[in-house]
Order: sequence, then structure tokens, then C-alpha cells
Amino acid sequence: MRYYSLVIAFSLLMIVGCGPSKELLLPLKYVNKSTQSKQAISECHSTLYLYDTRKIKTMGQMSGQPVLAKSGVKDWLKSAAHKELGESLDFEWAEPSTYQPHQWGLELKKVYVMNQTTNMAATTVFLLRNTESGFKRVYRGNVTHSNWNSGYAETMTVLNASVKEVFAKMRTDIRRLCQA
Amino acid sequence: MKNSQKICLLMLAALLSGCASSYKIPMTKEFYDAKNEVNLGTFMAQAEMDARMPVSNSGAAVGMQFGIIGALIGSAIDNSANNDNLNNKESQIAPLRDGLIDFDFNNLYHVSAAESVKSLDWLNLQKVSKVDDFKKLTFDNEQYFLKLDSSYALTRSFDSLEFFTYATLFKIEKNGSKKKKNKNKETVLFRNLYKYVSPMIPDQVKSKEETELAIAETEEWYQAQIKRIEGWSKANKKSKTRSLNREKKKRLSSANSPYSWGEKNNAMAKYWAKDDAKMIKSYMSEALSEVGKMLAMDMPDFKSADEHKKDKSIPLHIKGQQKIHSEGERVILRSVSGMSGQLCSIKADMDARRCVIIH
Repeated sequence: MRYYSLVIAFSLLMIVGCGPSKELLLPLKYVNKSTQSKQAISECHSTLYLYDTRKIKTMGQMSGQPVLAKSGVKDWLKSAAHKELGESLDFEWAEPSTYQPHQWGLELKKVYVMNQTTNMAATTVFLLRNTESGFKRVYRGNVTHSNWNSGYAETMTVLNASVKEVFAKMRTDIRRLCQA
Repeated sequence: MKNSQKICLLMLAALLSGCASSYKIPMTKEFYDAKNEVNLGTFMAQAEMDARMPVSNSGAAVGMQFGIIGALIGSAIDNSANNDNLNNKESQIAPLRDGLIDFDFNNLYHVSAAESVKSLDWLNLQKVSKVDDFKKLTFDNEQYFLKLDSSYALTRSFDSLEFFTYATLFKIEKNGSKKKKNKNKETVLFRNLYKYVSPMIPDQVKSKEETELAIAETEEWYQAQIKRIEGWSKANKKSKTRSLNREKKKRLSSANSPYSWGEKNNAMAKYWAKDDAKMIKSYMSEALSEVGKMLAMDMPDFKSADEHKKDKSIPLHIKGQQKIHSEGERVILRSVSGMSGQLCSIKADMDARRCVIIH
């Protein structure tokens, strides 16, 4: 009986070990199912310029397969920024070369997901800077979760959670910028 | 029952055969002499510095005694423990990752790896592909393809950097059959693993100033809490004071204790990150040059791991590790047991078992 169990366990292990055979093309969509208050910034008359300064544009790997964005990373993060920080704040993506020292710029540094053992970790990193005032701070959203099948839904859920966390961490600083 | 037993043994044998002792597949002299045209692919899937983490793997084995359900429950327990380990590791390493935020190591790696291969005069380098994910390249033509797949991480105790490069030379041939899913036939002509181990940084211990600061912060927090409950009723105040005293005692005890495992790792990450992460950047660059050196030294070595093992003229650095090169403070070792054939670059005065075991 014990051997029979072992055979099933090995078979399960082999099936699970196979994972997805193709790259994971993510339809990026920001969803925050949390019922908690998002503490949106109510009043803001500034435009926050976003710059994509990632050195690596792929979004990590799951079970040995690359994770790639099916739709735009920029639209996804802009939508997340609006949902987490409030509609009154204006976000505009711009080319990194157009950055002006007096502006507040939010640089996207990393956004990726990696699986480790039977879990996965999603990371989103932004850098908020205002060169003129010497302000420079890194915000890191990092969320780990069980990796059951390396599927779209769970990968997207963890990525969205890391995005939510990174915006939550910068909320106080952005609010201060809005009040200035 | 008998069949189950047989299948089980066969599966075990199949699993174990994957861990065959000789890792290196040497190249033939014929291939070397032919100066073939070779395409190169340099792979680096990592976006940031990583660290090894303790992996919980006990639950499944224990649970297995209770059949498949036990095994699944055991796996779920492991999964939960590993999620905690991963979560802790990710937050402990954050200061170093922030310190390396603008360091484009992937590009440095691709350039360095291509340069190393370009310098091999017995090989006619053609197309170079730089890949930042696990994407499998598709091949239109029959060709020789050299794949360098690298990764890097701090050890579990964050005291050293380890860099790994898996080098594999394939002969890609068309299968001919359109019906077959994979139209290419891939034959491995050469394979080996190169490991770089950086010098260690000192263990970080809690400084006297840090302890004093934590005590002062605890006192400040306690006084603020006491002030906050000044207007409370006597009964509520008494109960709250008791819980505050308990919390204060806990905080003071933590302030006076040495670093916990997690706190120490975090302090190690901060140590690596100081001075714009200068030290680790220099080790990362050193890793690239050492791997290039090992590749140049190893690819034209046609001897099998077994032949090397029998060659008693090569001195042993430690048991199972032949010293094949020495330059400055570093030595290059060849494993003649375990992952035999694997090369490792390490500081001569470091514990060479670090070449064998993943720390």
C-alpha cells in the first residue's frame, strides 16, 4: 500500500514539475480586491511624470518559462497609480531623457515575478526623485505567495499585490508633494 | 503490490540517474581542431541580486508515512514554511538590492561573456544572442550553439557572493520530419559548470551604539504611551500599564540581545550596500573575469573527469578538489568527486568546501 502511495506521489510530482510549456503572456490588468480604504489623495494639482528606466523589460520567469507582458506595462501601472493614489493626481509617462531637475519624477526600476521552490515572489520597484531638492527615495513592493500551477491568475494576483504595496509605501511622500 | 514496488524502484532509479557523478562532458579534439563556426547565447534571467534561503523539505517525507494524503499535507506545511523563508529573505536583502538599483549587471555579463568567447582562438564566433529570460531560442539553420546560462546569489548567511555559469555546446540538426513537434535534434558536445565564490565579509554584530539607541527608543516609546493613557480610568490605566510593561520588557530584551538570524542577514545586506555597493560590484566583475578564465582553460581540456581523477600528478587542494590554477590570492579547483569536472574559483585561504556545497 505504501508503494502504491509513492507511485502516485511521484506521478503527481512529475506532472507538477512539468509546469507550463510555453511562455507566460500576461494580460496586464490592475485589480485590487481589498475592501480596505485606499486613502486616496483627494486634492492634487500636480502632474507626476513616470519614466520607464528598466534595464530588463521581461517580467521574470515562472517554472523556467519567461513571463512577458501581453498588454502595456505603462497602461497597467498608470491605472494602478490612479486606483491607489487617487484620480485627482495626473500621471504622464514620458521619455527618461526629457526629465527636468525641478520636476518630480517616478522611475519604474523593476517589475518582475520569480518562482522559488513551491512559491513565487513578485517585486515592483519605483524611484521617486526631485533632483533640484535632492530628494531621491526607492520604494519596493514585494509580495510572496504559494505557486500552485504557475498560471496567469495567480501570477497576476501576486504582481498586482506588489504594485499595490509599492504605491501604498509612497503615498505619504506623494501627498506631501501634492500639498507643496 | 509487486508491480507498484517495481514501478517505484524504477522511478527512484530514474531520479537518481539524473544525479550522475560526472557532470562534465568534455569536447573532442576533432571539434577543437576544426575551428567550427559557433553561435553564442548568453542567458541571465535574474533582474536583481538574490540570496539562498533555507528550504523546508521535511513535511513531505514525514507525511509520506501516512500515504498520499499525508504527503500532500506535509507538502502544504513545507510550502507555508518556505513562503515565510522566501518572504524573510526578500525583505532582508532589500538594502543591497536598493544599493544596486542602477547597476546594469546583466549588460555587463552579456558583454563580458561574449568577449570571453570571442577571445577563444580555436572557435569561430558568429552570431551572439543576449537573453534576459528563460526563452528557448529557435534555430533556422543547422549550427553549433554555445549556451552560457548564469545566475548569482548571496549565500544563506549573506556572507559571500556565488556566481554560477552553466556552459553547454550543442550541435543543432534538423530532424527532417515535419510531423515531429520539435524539428531540431540537439546533441550536447560539451558541458560543464563554473562557480565563483567571493571573499567573505565579516559577520555583523550589534554595536554598542545600536543597542543604546534601541534602549533609548524603547524608553521614548514607553514614556509616550504612558502620557497617552494619563486621562484613562484607574482600572483601564492599570491594565494598560501592565501590558505596556510587558512590551517594554520584550523590547529591552531584544535591544540587549545579539542579532537574530534575520537581523544579522539584514545587517550583512546593509554592509554589502555601503559605499554605493562598491565591494560587491567589484566581486561581480571579478566573477565575470574568473568565469571567462575557467571557460578558456576548461573547454580545450579533452580529458574526462575520470581521467583527471586518476591523474595523481595534480595536487589536491582539499579532498576531492584538484588545484589546477593559482593566480594572486585565488585558486581554480576542479572537482573530482560529486559534481566531477566542475571548476570553481575561490580565494586560496577560504574553506574550499564552499566550492562543493551550496551555502
